[in-house]
Amino acid sequence: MNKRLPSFSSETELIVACRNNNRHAQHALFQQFAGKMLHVVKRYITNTSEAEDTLMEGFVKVFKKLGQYQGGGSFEGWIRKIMVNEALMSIRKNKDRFPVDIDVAFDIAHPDETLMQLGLQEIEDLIASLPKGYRTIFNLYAIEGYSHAEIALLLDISEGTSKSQLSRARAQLQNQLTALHR
Amino acid sequence: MKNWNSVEEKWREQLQNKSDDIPEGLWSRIEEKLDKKPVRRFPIYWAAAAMLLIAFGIGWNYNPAPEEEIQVTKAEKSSAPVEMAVTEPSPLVLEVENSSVPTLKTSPPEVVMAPATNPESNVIEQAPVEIVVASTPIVEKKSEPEEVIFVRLDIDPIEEVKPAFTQQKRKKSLFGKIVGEIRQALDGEPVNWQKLKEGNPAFENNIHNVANTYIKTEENLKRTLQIQ
Repeated sequence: MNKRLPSFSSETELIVACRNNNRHAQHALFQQFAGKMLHVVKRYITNTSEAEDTLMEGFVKVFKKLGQYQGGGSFEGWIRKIMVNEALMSIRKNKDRFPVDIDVAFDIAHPDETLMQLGLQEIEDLIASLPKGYRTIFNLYAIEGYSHAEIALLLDISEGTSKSQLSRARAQLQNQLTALHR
Repeated sequence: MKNWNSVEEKWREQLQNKSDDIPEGLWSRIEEKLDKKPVRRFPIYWAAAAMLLIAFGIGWNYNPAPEEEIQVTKAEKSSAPVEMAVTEPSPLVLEVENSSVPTLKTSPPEVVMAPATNPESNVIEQAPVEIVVASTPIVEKKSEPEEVIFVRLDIDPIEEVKPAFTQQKRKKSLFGKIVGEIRQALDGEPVNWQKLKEGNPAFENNIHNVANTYIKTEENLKRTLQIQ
């Protein structure tokens, strides 16, 4: 049951079938992306049940908005964007406000070498240890690859705030790491 | 020395294809959501807002106007020669009409003279009528004397009071009915708008006003939002 149905040989075929409200196709699409997307959502929302709810809402939105997918970029990227948006909305719903400070960015020019050597779990733990505001912006910029201008639009903050929050997030990551290795 | 960008790039690569286990039952929850028909909540709220516009925007704005008019006419009529003014000019109008019809259209001075002479004949019969009668036709005789007189004759100060109240009552109860229907609609029960329309000719007229007001409000909202 958890295997992708053979009738959908290509991604385009799967998308067309999903658009036609084919439940098998929708299930196949869910099976294909749910695990990855849950990981994406969990980077923003640490609470497991909240993350799962967000994933669910995200998939409902994916199926409803599939008609809007033009096929230009990567399909996974399109789904990922919806999931990230859903996660941001969920954070907002919980009345967690995104930072509004406009401090001048201060970057630690040279991050510790050990940051490059970290394993997957350590990276995840480190990111998860950041406060929600920093974590959101670090995820959007460093992992998802959004620009500061895009983040400013998404979170309704200024570009300066996005930059300063990223710097603080980086500084905190560095501090956490040194604290861990002490 | 490494910079942050290279660190983040490496992390991105590592995290990109990471996958978590999907909890059981999540798909069935999504399926449930997909099976649900979209609830038409928003339009109903808009409908409710529009109906409230009927009640407040039109009901309360339009009501006072005729009431005042009635009060003014009442005040006028309540002065001494009320009954005479109302009852007596009627034969006069007929006379004016009658006199203007037989006379040829090529001779307007005669038509003008006709009401002037007629009041005199009336004056002989009944003295107090003179002032009222003389004032109305002479002032407006040239343009449209008939219309003015007809309007005044239609009004009976005694009977007019009652329709004013009943009209108000009907509008208020209409408001109540509308609120009831909106509640019914919100509860998901079908609404019989035809029933509301029956016996309320104003409802049908007002609905157009409401639609216009609603569209205008929406346009204004869009405009202000765009400006902001």
